[in-house]
Formats: sequence, structure tokens, C-alpha cells
Amino acid sequence: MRASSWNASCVRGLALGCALVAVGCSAQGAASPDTVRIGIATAPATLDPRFALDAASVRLAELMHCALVRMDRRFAPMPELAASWHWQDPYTLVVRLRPDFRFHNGRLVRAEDVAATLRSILDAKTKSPLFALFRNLQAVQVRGKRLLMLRLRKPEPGLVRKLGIGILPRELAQEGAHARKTLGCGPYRLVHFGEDKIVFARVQGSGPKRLVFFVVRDATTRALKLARGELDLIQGDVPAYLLPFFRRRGLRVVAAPSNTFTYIGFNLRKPPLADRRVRKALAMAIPRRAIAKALFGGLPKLAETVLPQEHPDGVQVPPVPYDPQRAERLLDEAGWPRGKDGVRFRLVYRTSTNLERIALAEAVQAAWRRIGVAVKLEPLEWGAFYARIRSGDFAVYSLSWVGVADPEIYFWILHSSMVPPAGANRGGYRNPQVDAWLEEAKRTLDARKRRALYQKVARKMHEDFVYAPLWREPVVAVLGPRIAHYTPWPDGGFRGLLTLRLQSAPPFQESRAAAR
Amino acid sequence: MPLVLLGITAVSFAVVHLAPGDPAAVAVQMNPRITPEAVEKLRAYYGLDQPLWKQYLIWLDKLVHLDFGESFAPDHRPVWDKIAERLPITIGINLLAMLLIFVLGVPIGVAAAARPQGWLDRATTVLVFVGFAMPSFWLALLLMQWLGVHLKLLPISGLHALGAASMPAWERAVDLARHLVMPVLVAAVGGVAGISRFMRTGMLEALAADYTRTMRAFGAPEWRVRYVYALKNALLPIITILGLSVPGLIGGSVIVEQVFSIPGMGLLFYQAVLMRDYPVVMGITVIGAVLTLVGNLLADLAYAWADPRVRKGLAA
Repeated sequence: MRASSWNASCVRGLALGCALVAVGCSAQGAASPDTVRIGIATAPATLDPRFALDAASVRLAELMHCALVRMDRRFAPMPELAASWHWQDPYTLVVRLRPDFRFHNGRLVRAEDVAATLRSILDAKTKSPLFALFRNLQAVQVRGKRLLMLRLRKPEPGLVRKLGIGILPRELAQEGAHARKTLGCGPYRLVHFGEDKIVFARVQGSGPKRLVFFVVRDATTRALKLARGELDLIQGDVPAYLLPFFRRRGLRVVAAPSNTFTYIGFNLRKPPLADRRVRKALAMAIPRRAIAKALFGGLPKLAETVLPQEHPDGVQVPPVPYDPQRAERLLDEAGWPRGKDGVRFRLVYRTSTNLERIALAEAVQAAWRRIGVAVKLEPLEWGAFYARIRSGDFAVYSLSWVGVADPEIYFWILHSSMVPPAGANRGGYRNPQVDAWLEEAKRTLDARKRRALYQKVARKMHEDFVYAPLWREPVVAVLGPRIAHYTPWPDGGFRGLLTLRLQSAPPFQESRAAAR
Repeated sequence: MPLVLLGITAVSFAVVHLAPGDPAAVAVQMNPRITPEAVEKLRAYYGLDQPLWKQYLIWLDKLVHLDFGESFAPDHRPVWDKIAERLPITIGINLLAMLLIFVLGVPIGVAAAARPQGWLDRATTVLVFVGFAMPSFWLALLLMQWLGVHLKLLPISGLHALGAASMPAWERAVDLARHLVMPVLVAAVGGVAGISRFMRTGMLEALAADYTRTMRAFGAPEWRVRYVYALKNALLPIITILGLSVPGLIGGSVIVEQVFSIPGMGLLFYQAVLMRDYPVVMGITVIGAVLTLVGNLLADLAYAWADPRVRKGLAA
């Protein structure tokens, strides 16, 4: 009897607990009409441009820092803080600054600030990971409040592209790292930098008055927050399996092809992949369009070259066709006929444990099985995977080149001196002609001649099937009902926020307190 | 105890460094702007060009001076700062979860044992096994969809609403409580299932023990037999579980923190492992090891205090 009354008490207690929770949950709360809430997957490690390496840090830092130049949507350098520049001689770049840029403390940006920022990157004591980017810089000379001369050790026509580094005030640049308390001259100033939230306020120009970046690591959680109205926009790391959810909820998905190039790399040192015909056959056996549609909602844009075609130094080459019959003939010609079990040869395909990468690897495995190539998949945790790729311990792997804007990447991935650990010629590609073109391009100041050389290199790389090209990853953004217009920037950054337009409708009521 | 701690740190240090890939390479990943020269400089800066034993001795020397070192992440913040800002969050959530586990788990177990094979016992058994079997990330997503998106009762993730800093204290507390409901619930589900099973078994054993029969024979009322004598004895194993839960207080849960975007220790540790941020990994390992040892010690002492058989050396 007493036991059953105890049981009844338990049930009543549980019911009361649930009721209390429900009452506690009834509060609702609100967001300012000119605040845009953006969901991002990872927190930036730093907003100090001298130390920003990871994508989140680079993308958020460029909202609060101005740079001498910025890349436009075609990845051509456009002046920002720099009013103009010219090569005085092959060793000297003269840069003139605009007179109207101010730091967020109100002080005008002067040439000495630019010089101090560059010098601090070059100073070994600063320990900036970007110092190697400017190691060719011999001296930075200030020739007036707005005039600067950059002296080089040897000619480097591509230097201008590297000047997209955020500029710090001289007094800050002379100190150590300022990961969370830094001052910039960009359109937004930093208000708050927390582990889960970064807040910016607009200082000048267009764009929403306030940007709040919420760090929401899980993609599904970000999607649910957007659906609930806790976020206005999410960008990057939008898995394809969530696209139908967004459509059902009436949330708009906008995408732009990025400068992240995804490819399948081959180890060219060993047979059968040392034979160009085999590599070509493998590339031709991949139904890229079908895979992109099935796995990634058709958002990736098929690509043939590392540098985007619309890049000023890009080139148009014939696309690799999907032709499994031709691929089979090529393999027969190369001396790899089908065996009794139908298998021509076996390959090990290394990839990371990222689910989308594994899905891609499985699709490629199935495609190559059709032409008689047996593939063993080896997904590895990122560090282990990358260590094996760097040491050349692979036959086939898939990876992406992220943020490709500088044509000098071809030197790094193709020149025979750039075999790891020196560079990223991971497949061991060796071609004296390509080496000569790359060396000449590095020396040539004439932009047209340099473009022609890089185009030759890209064509040759494509002909030799150093990689099986796949596509350019899309920059995907999903817009909540408050956003009227937003176009993602191709580098995955947030400069599109500067031209974002909000709906005139009242904002979502999120918190009662903020509404007051 | 210091020797055990030394052993734990030595083994952890070796195992962490055995994993392929180093922080310099992982940090720059596929960034074409970073040259191999920069990677080598980074390795030298991190001290990774030194032999492993030397790296360990340097780290140990710092630890003796209570210096956990500097994170390898680009923010280069002191490890202790990183841990200190996440520790209260993780401890808070885990304490609440533990409280919920005991508040729900103990009565459920006791109630189930009151009438073995009764309807409540069968119902709680089913619920407990569902609780055990349900993946916490899945439960979290279901709750988010139902309570957050569909009913709009609770916020989906994070710890504070936008503008929480400008709220009055009581409203900030309500806001925090609303944000904590789902994470605490999800973190507690597995524990409630476990503790209620422990309690049920403990109670059944205690109710079948000789001393219970003796108490009944002496004419003690049934409620007193059950909820005073049997319950006291059935609660003894819980002391051990409490002791073992101490390191879990700072460990955090990667899944709960990932899904609910809570910047806690579990996520910090997980990210540090992926990024090969050795100082952070070792810092959390040391704290975890110390708490494990302290938890074991406390459990032994508490057991001796609670059970006279242990105190007098009479236990089997």
C-alpha cells in the first residue's frame, strides 16, 4: 500500500517537474532591426591579421581591417587602402595610400602603419606564420604620410596579390599578437569576441549596423536555428542533405562557385599511374556531373584547372568528358587488360573521415569498378591522412586547394623542386618544360607575358592529368526571411554582407529583453 | 599518487605525439599561402624539432611551476586561460545533469524495486533501455526540432540570448535556465537510466537480505524497512559512482557541446586533439588525471565513513 503511494508520489513529482520546466520555458525574448545574425561553423582563432591563417579568422578579420588591396569577384587585385601602385623598377613597388581611411579610434591611416605591419610580420620575434610570404621583401621605406616603397631582393611580379593583409596601427603592430583586442580600419569595429559569439558594429560604408556571428558547430543545429529565426543567415558548411529541409521551410539557398578546387590526386611515381593514359582513363571514368548532383545537390561547378577560368590568369581548356568506353580502351592500350576476375589493377584511395569525402570516394570507387579498376578505400583521421599525403604514401587521394587566387600556386604544386617537404608537388610530377615556364613566370613583370606562361602551364597540367579535376566547391548561404538580398563572395568571405539588404518586414521576435 | 600522475602524463605525452601529423602541418593544411619554410619555423617555434624526451622534460618543468604553457592555436593564449573560461560552463552543466540523474534515477529505481515485475517496474525498464539505447545526438536533434522549432518553447543552442548582457539579473538567470534545459536533459538521460538500474538492483538485494527479514520479524513498519534500512544500504554503491563521476565533471561531453554549441571542455579537448594542440591536450589530461585520483580517494574515504564494515576491516 505504502509502496504504491510512493509510486504515485514519484509520478506526481515527475509531472510537477515537467510543468515547472514548461512554465520556465514560456519566456520569449528580440533582435534589433538592423542587426544581422550569422551562423558560422568554427570560431576564429584570432582577428590579428598577422596570425590569421584559418578560414574563419581570415574571413572575419577582413571585415574589421583594411588592406592595401582586395581581390574582386574574379580574383583580380583591386585597390582598397592603396590609391595606386606602380613598379619603379623590377625591385621596387611604389604604393600611394588613399587619404580618407581611418582606424576605428579616429586616427588617419598613414604609410608608417603599413610599414610597421609589414615589418612586424618580417620580424622573427613576432613569429607570424605569414613571414615566409614576404621573405623576399628587403625593406619597407616610408616616403611621406601616404607614400610607401617596397624593395625586393629579387623581382616578384605577384607581390601585389600578397598585399591583402590587414593593416594595424603602428603602436599595435610593434607589440605582440592581439588575437581578441585589435584595432582595424575596415568597415566594422570589433565589439565583442567570445568563444560562442563575435559582434561587430558598422563604422563606415554600407551594410547592416551590427553583425553578430554565432559559432554553431553542428550543421543541423545551424539549420534548426535558422528555421526557428534565431539566425538570419548561415554560410559555409551546408551539407547537401539539408537542402530539402531548407526548401520545405521556404528558406532561400544561394550559391556561388568558390575558388576552392577539388580534385583527385595521383601518385605519378609508380605504375600504373605513372602512365598518362591510365590517369586520363581514370579521369574520364568519373561521372562528375552525376556525382555532384547526387551528393551535393548539383551545387558544385565542374572545373578543369586549379585557377578559376574567369581569373585574370585563368584559361579555358576542353572539359574532361565522361566516357567509360574510351577509358576502357585507353587502359587496354596502356597494357592493363582485364584479368579473369575482371580487374585490371588495384589502387588504394586515401581520404579523410569527412562524411562528404567518404561519399565522394565511394562514388569514384563505384565508377572505377565499372572500368575494371578495384579501389580500396582508406579513410583516415585528418592528421594521419595529411601526414601520409605529405610523405607520398598514397596511390590516389582526394583533396581541395582552398582559396586559390595566386597563379604562383602552379609553381608550388608542379615544379620539380617542390616535391614534399619542400612544396606540394605531391604526385612527383616532373616536366623540364613546365619547370622552365614556371621559373620564367616568376621573373616576368609583363602581366600579359606572365598570363600566357601560366596558361601554358595550366593547359599542360590538364593534358598530363596530374590531377583528375572535379569541381569548384560552392559557397552556399541560406537566407532567413529577414534577408531580402545577399550574394556570397566567391572566396567564402563575408564581404557580401556589405551589400546585404534586409526586408522591410519587422524582424523576428527573439528575446523580450532586447525588444525593450 | 604523484608517481601515478607522473606515469599518466608520460604515457599520455607519448601517445599524443605518436599520432601522425604535427600541429604546424595541421594548422596550415591546404593553405597555398604558407610555405614549407614557414611550417619549419612554426615547428621550431613550438619546440617540435627537439627530441620527444626533451619536449616532455620541458613540459614537465613548466608543469612543476604550474604553467600549462601556451596553446599552439593561432591565438597563442595560455592553456590555463582557455581551460579556465570553459571550466565553469562544463562543471555547471555536469553538476545539474548529475543532480537530475540522482533526483530522477534514485526514485525510479526504488519505485521499480518496490513491486518487481509490476507495471511501474516494467514501464521503467522499457524507458530505461530506450534511454540507454538512444543516441544522445539524435535525442538532442529531436528535442530541438520539437521544443525549439515546432513549439518555440526553448532556444536551440548556446547559453545566452542575443542581448542577454543588457538584461536584469533575474531575466538573465531565466534566459540561462532556458538555454540549459535541453543540454542538461540530454546529458542526464543515459545517467538516469544507469542509476535507476543500479538502485533497482541494490534495493532488491537489500530487501532480500537477512537484516531486512530480521527487521520485519522485529515488527518494524514496512515503509521503515524499505525507505530507511534497505534504501540506506542500497545507496552505498552510489558513493563509488559519485567518486568516479568527479573527473567527468570537467570532461564534458563532446556530443552535447557540439550539438548545442556550448563552449565546454569536451569540445576544447576534441578540437585540441584534431589540431594536435599538445599543450591543451596535456593540460586537460593532467587536470582529468588529478581529479580521477582525487575522486577515487574521496570515494574510498566516503565508503569507509558510510559503511562500518569497511571502516573496521570486516568487508569481504
